[in-house]
Amino acid sequence: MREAEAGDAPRFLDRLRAGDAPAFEDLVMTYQHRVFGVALRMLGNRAEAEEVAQEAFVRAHRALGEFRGDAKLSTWLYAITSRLCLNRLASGERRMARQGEDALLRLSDAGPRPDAALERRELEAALGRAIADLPEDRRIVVVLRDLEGLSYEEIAQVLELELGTVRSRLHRARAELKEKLERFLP
Amino acid sequence: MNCEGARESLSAYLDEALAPDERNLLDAHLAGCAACHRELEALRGTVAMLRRVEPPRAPVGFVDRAVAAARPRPWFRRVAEAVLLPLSIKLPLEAAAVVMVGLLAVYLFERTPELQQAAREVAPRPEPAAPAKERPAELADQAPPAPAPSTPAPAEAPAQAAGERDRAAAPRSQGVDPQITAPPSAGAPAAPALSPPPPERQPQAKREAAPSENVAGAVRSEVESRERARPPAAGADSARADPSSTGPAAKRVLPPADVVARVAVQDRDAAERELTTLIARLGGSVTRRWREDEVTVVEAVIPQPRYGEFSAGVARIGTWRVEAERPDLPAQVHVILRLR
Repeated sequence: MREAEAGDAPRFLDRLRAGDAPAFEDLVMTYQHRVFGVALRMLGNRAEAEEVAQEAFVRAHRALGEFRGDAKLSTWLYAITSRLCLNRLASGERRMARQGEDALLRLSDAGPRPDAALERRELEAALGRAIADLPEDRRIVVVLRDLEGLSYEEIAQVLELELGTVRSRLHRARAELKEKLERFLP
Repeated sequence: MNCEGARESLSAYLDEALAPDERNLLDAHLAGCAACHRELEALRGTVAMLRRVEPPRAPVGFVDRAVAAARPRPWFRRVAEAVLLPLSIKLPLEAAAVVMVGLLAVYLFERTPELQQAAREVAPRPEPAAPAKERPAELADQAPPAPAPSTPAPAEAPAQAAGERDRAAAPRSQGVDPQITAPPSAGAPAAPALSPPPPERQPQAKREAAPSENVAGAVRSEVESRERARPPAAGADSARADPSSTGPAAKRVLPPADVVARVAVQDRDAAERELTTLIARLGGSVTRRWREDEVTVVEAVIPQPRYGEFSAGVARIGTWRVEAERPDLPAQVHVILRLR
């Protein structure tokens, strides 16, 4: 119900633009998982992902008055979140931190896993690592497409890219993932 | 379409994002190329794996935190944060706050000794009527449980007011002392009936008007006089033998004295030195001493067998006037002397 209300209905957008606090709360409630999910997949760290997701909503709150409604609200939020993530990943400090995270991920996945649940966990860990290993410009595309379900057009809008660029980055990203995850394929 | 071109389009093919003519070309290639077909299926499996991944959920409480973070802050808070957030400003301020707390603590400590000193001042007031005041302080609690001695009391009180050293039996003095000591609200209802009013109440009035005491000192003295009054309630000797019976507060402030005396001297410093020598010579010890503007108070313990020598020695140092004295002195006599 909230989802429906917090969509792009003109009345809801009007409330948001007018600074209506309950409307903003509905917006956060509706999109929190998606915004957080993108941040987590991009950054690989829950605390950092929450920080960025929160910052994304803070920025959205500040800019809501100027939101024209040309794009979908979700696309707009993805755009803010993606930009924040890419900016953070581009910082030198962040690059150093990620090296440590990757090492930790590899360590946590060591050892045989006969159990099916453990195998699934292993697959998810391998997926997480494979995504994390992608170059950031490809990672954001595959996250938006295969994990968040955005269309090519929406991704192009979010990242301000040409459609062809989205397509080629997505193809390369998937090809890399296939190489790394081949052993899990049937 | 060759294999390289076909594989470039496989991802978009899976997403049905190819233009119709492009799609037709790829379909034709895949129909005749098993390798590209296998590649397509592997890619399809990879995408399917990705889409099966459980989407992450924002942590509990995220909505509240995000809404709170987005809420505009009052201008003064924004200004305060802008000013205080830099550590270069914040740290010195915090350090200054710590120093201020420390200074405040020192200031309070400086004041506290004065109050304690005033409270310790259990010796009788300089006024002539003080003797009648002080003894009751020690023995006040004996009165309520002993209404029987009330008959001999009227005869006893004047003798005490005169500061006699030779006391009558304890029960006789008990009837009088509480009346003198207890303030109007001290809760000794039987006392007024026991006291001979004129000789006792006049000193009380004088004492209240005494200008030498500050208010804090007076309050503490009163409290202390009550504390001191407790031990004798269980019997003077037992109180002496077991100081713990006075309770921790009373013990800390001052143990009950057996003798309180005033010594008028020419030179307080010299008298104090002589007194110290005398006490040491008699095998006693000074337990505490302190100076005020007009009086030096010396607390000491004297062995009871040497007490006679002690009183004679003090009489040589100055004009010795006993203001209160327990009738049955214990083995170690606790003496408080006020040198003036």
